[in-house]
Amino acid sequence: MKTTTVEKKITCPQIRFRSWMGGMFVFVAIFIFLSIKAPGFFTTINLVRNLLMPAGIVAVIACGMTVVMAGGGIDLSVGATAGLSALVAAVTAARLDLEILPMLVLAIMVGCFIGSINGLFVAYLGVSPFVVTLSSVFLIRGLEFLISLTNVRGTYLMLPMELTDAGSSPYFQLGLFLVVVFSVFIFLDRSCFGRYIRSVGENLEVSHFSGIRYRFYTWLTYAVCGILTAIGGFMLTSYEGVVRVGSGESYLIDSFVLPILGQAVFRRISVEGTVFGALLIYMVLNGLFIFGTPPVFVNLIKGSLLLLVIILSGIQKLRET
Amino acid sequence: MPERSKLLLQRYAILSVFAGLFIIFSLTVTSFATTENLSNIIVQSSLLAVLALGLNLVIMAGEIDISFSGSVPLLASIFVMMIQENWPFLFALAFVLFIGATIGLFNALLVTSLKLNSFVSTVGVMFLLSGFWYAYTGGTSIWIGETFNRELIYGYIGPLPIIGLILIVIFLLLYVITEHTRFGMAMRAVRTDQEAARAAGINVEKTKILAFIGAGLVFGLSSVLSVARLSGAMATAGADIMLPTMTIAFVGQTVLGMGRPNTLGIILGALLLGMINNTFVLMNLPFWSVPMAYGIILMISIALANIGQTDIKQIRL
Repeated sequence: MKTTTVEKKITCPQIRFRSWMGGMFVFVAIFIFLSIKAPGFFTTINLVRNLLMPAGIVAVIACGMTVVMAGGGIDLSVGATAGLSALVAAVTAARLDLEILPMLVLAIMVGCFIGSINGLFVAYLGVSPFVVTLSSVFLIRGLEFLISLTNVRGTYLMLPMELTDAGSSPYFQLGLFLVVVFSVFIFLDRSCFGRYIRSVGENLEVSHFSGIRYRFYTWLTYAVCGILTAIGGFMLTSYEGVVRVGSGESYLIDSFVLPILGQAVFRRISVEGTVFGALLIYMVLNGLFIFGTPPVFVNLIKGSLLLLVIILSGIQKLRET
Repeated sequence: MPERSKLLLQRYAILSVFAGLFIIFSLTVTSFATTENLSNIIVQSSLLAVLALGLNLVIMAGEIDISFSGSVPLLASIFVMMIQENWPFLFALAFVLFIGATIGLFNALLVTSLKLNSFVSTVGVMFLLSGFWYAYTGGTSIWIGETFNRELIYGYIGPLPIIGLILIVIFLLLYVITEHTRFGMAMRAVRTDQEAARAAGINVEKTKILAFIGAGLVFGLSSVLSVARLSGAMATAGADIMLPTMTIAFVGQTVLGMGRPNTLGIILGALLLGMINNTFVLMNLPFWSVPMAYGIILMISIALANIGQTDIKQIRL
């Protein structure tokens, strides 16, 4: 009788090259380079105050955009929504002497309302998301002017002391950032909601025939985006310490760019990709500022970084097909 | 709602909004329906109209080009610098057009040869160009001074504003190109179905490249117009034009129920927005009401034109 020896194939554990590894490698390389070369980069105060806190605010707003983009839409009104919800919260708080938590809840309610309206038009009336959210930009801008004209005396509305204290404290900002990012990650990648949203984003027809309530899930992405944007706007306002008209509007393009950067690195629209993009961009900018690059080059740097990453991922995609 | 009235709504929604507003304004605002004011409206809306005509060219070929928001300030400041250094007007104009076309070609190559999404890649180009603009001007507005005669563009021939004539010439040119030539048909085919167009023997890449270059030329021209309009290259020009231009391009798509980007719609859309802007000032309405009116009218007209088509429109990036 022959004994058959089961030949065990000895394979060394292969490290498969994944697309995010390249991005991560670049990130780590830049980080190490800056830590060695840039004086004062690798200090707690720089990393927390100049890198993580601003990146956190953008990342929270961009997470809203990430959810919408995962569902196959786009929301041009994120910047405006962030500004308006913070403005409404601050004005009401000034009138009624509200604490921080009710202010945040109020901001979230405003954001959720705007998001729901956007979602209603996109999901149930079938209007193109570009048009819907563009017209909400105009509406929100008008509302912002109206509210600040009737409520703000002087140029700026100063915020209550405890809010500006909280806004400049890293525990508040980073805590909020971590909570938001973690819950959006759970929502988008570890829950049935996120699964359905991704399915609708991948293929609307198939989702429809699979019995997914595609209109509801499309609507949901916009409502969630409104909520996240409002939180981001609240963080931004408390960080800046003042409320002004149009405070979030410069975040529109950023919030659109970050998920795209993340998509180029992680191969899909994802929360981790968005956070990665925010950290990467703010790290590069921070390092360049330490080297004394004038802040006027921000756009040049952002543009070349964005183009570089998407061109690289485009070349990689071409090679694969 | 019966099928017929739906069709009617789709077809004439924006036209009736336009006509309705025009009638209301002429009845209620005393100085609205005067020749002077009407030609003012044309003058005020012409810059955005020309920009939107350029954007429309790219949209007709199924892509989008956001880079104008970076290229117009850059080209405008290049133009101002050249005029200040006493280059002849025509040479400066030709140079700016050339740069505009080059930017268009660059955008087109990113889209056609690297297969990048045009929205994303042109946003990157926009950042790059506005960075160049910062590096070039130091982030300040430059005034053109006395060396350049604004009347060349913003003057009047009799009662007719010259800029209106320029707008009409560009419009007619683009109208013929987009609606009555082989190239225009090719663009529509490419937008509708790229693969089918390829199978039908259309050179998809060439069509897109030409559309981008055409748009770049128009953006170059409109940067010169903006210099004449504002007597210089403004620091805020880029951010100010992006959203209104996109608005006009979107409103224009639904004119006459064509449901596709068309050149005539752009003009109507630009005049609609210009009319609102002008009349709200005449009526002494507070300034926050202008963006609100933009939003509401954009929303209503698109929703009306969209009746009966409740399929969700998705954006592929």
